[in-house]
Amino acid sequence: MRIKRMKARFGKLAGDSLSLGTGLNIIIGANEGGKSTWSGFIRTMLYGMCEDGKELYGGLSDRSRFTPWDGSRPEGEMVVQWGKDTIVLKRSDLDDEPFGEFTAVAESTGRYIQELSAINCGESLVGASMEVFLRSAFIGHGGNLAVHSAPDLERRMAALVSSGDEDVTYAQVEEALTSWIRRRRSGSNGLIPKLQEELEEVQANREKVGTNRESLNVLVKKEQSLQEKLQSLEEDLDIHRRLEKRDINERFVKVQLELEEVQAQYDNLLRQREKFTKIPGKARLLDLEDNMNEVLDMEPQIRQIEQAIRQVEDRLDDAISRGEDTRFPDMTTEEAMRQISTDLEEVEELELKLSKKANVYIKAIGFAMIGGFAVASGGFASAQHQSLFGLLGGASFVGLSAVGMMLGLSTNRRRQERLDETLAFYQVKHAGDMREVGNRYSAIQDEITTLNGQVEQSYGSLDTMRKKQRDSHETFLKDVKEFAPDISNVKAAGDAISRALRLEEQLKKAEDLLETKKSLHKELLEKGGDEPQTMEELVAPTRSFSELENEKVMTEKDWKEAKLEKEKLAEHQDLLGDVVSLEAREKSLLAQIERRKKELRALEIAKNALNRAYDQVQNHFYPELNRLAGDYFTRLTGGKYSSLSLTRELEAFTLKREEDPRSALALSQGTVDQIYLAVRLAVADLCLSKGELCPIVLDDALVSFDQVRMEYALDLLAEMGEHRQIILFTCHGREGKYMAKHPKAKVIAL
Amino acid sequence: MLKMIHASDFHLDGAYEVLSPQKAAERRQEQQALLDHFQEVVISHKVDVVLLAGDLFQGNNVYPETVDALVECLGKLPCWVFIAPGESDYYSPKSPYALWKWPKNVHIFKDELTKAVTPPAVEGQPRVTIYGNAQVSPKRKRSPLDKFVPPNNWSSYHIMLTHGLVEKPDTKPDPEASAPILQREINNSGIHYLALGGQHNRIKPVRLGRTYYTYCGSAQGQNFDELEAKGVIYLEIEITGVSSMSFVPLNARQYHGVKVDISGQETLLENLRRGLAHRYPQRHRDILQVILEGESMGPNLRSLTEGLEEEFYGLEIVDNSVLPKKVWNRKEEETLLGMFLKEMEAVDPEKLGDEEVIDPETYQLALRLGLAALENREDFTL
Repeated sequence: MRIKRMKARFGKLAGDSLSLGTGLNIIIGANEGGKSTWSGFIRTMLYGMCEDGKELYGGLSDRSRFTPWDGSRPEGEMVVQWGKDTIVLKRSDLDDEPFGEFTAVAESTGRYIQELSAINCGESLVGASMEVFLRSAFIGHGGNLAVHSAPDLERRMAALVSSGDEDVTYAQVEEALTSWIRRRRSGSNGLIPKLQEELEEVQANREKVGTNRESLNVLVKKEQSLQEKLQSLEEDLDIHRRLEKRDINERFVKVQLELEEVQAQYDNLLRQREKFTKIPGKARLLDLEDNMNEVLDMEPQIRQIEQAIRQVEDRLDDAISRGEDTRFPDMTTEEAMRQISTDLEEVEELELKLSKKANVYIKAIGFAMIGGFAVASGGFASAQHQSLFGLLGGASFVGLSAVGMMLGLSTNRRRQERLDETLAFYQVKHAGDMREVGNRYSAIQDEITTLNGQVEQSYGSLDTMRKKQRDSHETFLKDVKEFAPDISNVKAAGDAISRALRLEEQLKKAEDLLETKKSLHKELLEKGGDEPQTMEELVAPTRSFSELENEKVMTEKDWKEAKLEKEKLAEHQDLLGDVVSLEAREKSLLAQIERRKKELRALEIAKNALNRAYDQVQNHFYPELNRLAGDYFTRLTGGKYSSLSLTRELEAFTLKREEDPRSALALSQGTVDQIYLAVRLAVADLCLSKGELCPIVLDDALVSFDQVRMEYALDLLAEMGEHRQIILFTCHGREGKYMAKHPKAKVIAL
Repeated sequence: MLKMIHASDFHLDGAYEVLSPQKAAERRQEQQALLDHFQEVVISHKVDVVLLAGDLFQGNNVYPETVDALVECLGKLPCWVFIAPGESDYYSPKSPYALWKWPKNVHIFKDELTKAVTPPAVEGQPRVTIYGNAQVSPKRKRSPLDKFVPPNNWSSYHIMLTHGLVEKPDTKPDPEASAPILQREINNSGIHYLALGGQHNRIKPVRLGRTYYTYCGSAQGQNFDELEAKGVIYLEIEITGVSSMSFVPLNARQYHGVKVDISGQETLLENLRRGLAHRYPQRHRDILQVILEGESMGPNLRSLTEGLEEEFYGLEIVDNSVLPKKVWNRKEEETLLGMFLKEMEAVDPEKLGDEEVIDPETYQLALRLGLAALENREDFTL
């Protein structure tokens, strides 16, 4: 395929035209003269516009780069010779698709070439994809063959022969893949080992969390159970408290009622007290009471005195009665005593007489009679037994005795009669009693005298007492009337005092009771005493308040311990992490590990394929590449270098005739550029040698060549132009000058 | 008429896929809101019975406050509540069902064998008999309906709840399945309704014989296998059978999944942001899985995720896109890249018909990573 002519509204080209020759075309243009635009035009007319201009223009798309400067839409026409046909290719925008509108028409017949389309045009005409074309026969923008350093040359050359991509070499690709593999599995820093390490940690933590959770749940239940127990205990305690409260309430209500009652009583007592004018103090009342008692006590005293008087009078009457003795009529005591004394003397004399002789005679007569009787008795007995003499003597003596005795008895009888008469007068049996009669009479008389004195004295006392009673009575009543004016007698006064005293006592008691009740009421109120709202059914717990309190303390201790233990475990759990998070992380890590392993496997597959491909490249490409490139390099250097070889590591070595191989690193800038050109031409020969040969487009390719080697290069290109079209854009005029008269070269100035 | 709510698989304190640990922990806190809404639903529907068919907790080592919250929630319900512990929350002495003191209106089945409970009769209503059982270990070999004696009295309601997997009639029984239930067992059960738990996606009610059964699904989504709205089943039962059944959603965060063709998209992040914002107005509440399809050299998932994650409560981006076909054109290049493509083509699992050697996803990844290295691009997976 050869390009015959072109017309472009494209970038800076505003309908510009360019006609080309079949062989070497040298197109000379200054910087910004449109050389690169024409290069881009050729590419886009063949392959369409690239949306991604990264490889070509550092990321700028064709559309952005080649939009006509006048703002119109890009369009172009390119006439090519393809086999026997001359075909007119036209491209313009189709809606929003740049250069999407495409036609290919046979110039001679106007027939549409159906087999060519916007998509396959370039590949059909060139015989290679755009990528292949670009990397072998087309050096577009930035495709400067000049290199400025040995490593760059090495990289570019290696890319050319190994991947076709100028940006990368096999070594780099292999290194990249190895690096990517290493990144995944290398030592402890590899992604997979790191992920696995984290996975192990997460799994261990998850297991710990599981174990902890089990313990934690048991502790939670223990804590809850203890809490429930505490609640139950508290409920029982509350029942106790409510019972106590109820008791307080009941007591409160009771006390309140009592208080009201006491208050009422107290008020009543106060009202009662108001009835008195002014109640004196208790001491005064007690004094009055004493006074009253004194007044009252006087009456029995008076009565006692009166009774005593009556008794004394009775005794006096009795004494007088007893003192009325007929034996002493109208005699005074002394007279009576004198009479008694006289009579007594007589009597005593009579008695004396009667008692001394008479008694002796009588006694003698008696003895005589007894003797006589004894003799008589003896005689009688002797008569019977002894003698009658004795009986007779005895009887005589008794007779005599009896006569004597009869005389004596007669005197005595008279005396006795007198005595008896006197004694009878005095109504005594013995004379001695007559003194007694006198004494008695005297005593009675004394008694009468005494009793009379007593009666008189008693009446005196009685009068005194009565007077005192009257005085006290009056004073008492007067005193009492000072606070109880209505009273009229002692009884009423006593009642008033008693009432007053009782009232004061009652008031005091009521006041004390009121204070007590008030104090209790206050105390109960402070304890929350209130009127019970409802009478709830409360059953007293079986255990006492203190028992429950003790158990509550113990349970609280257990509960706090369990809670603390739970919190510690929960804290530990938190440190380990949330189980859901851990599980999520575990799943994520497993997925990541699986993905990374898959990537690793993919990288290994890619690397293996790369190595096999590299072997293929080396086996099939290198020998021919070395030969062709060496030939071209020899030509380009005027035979200075006999050959060029590329090592498997893509290091370029040159060989001068009869010299040892020299590394490209040791060559001059121009020479390495010539190596590069030689390799590119060789690659183009190798890659684009099937079918109809496509043009080779060079943009400022010889810029660093010296004049001589430029001429070598142009000679070579002109020679190559015999087989395929060569389009060389240059900013120098020397190429044009050199080839101006060359029959197979066409020099065009832009 | 008997009114009931059938719920299951709350999976309280369960892990949530995709979410960050912080968000996962946050979602656990949101469980209270879920329970509050559940409570509102039950009260507003004035139901007689609530059936909870297991897996209320994700395991037995749940947070105490989680159990407290559920206990409080159920205690406030003015109806009877029946719980059949399931696979995740199987009954054991250390399970919350044993450790906690549950409200009086809550009955928890504790035995593997089915037991019947008859709540006090409501005046003017037929009696209700609730049959239920519990899983007592993580796996249950026997069917929950094993040895169940069908009721012979249809003058009262017969309801059963359990946690198990109804096996399909035409498939071979899975020996590893936990609590497998045979359809004929349901058919022969003679009950009005069988409330099932254990499947996170609800199914349409199925009638076998006289018995209706269904899975109400999980109450909240936890992964991208559960993309439907989540909630509970409200049903009304006459003595002749189930008369009405409806789904009542709970305000839980929802998982969504969307596939996006990213072929030729230059500004993928912006396009995704715009498109997803339009499609998911509740995106700040919900959790989204974006599956990238079409052709791509390898989207940078990290930058996409970082660019979009603020828009959603949770976000996962899965790349199922493949290398653009046009890249294969370069395999003809006599270059390392061309050779690489040829070498990779030689191990394409689809062409080899052996996906066990290299799975297609890994293969696509290998292609893209290799090309990224060859084109001197960054490792887009980092």
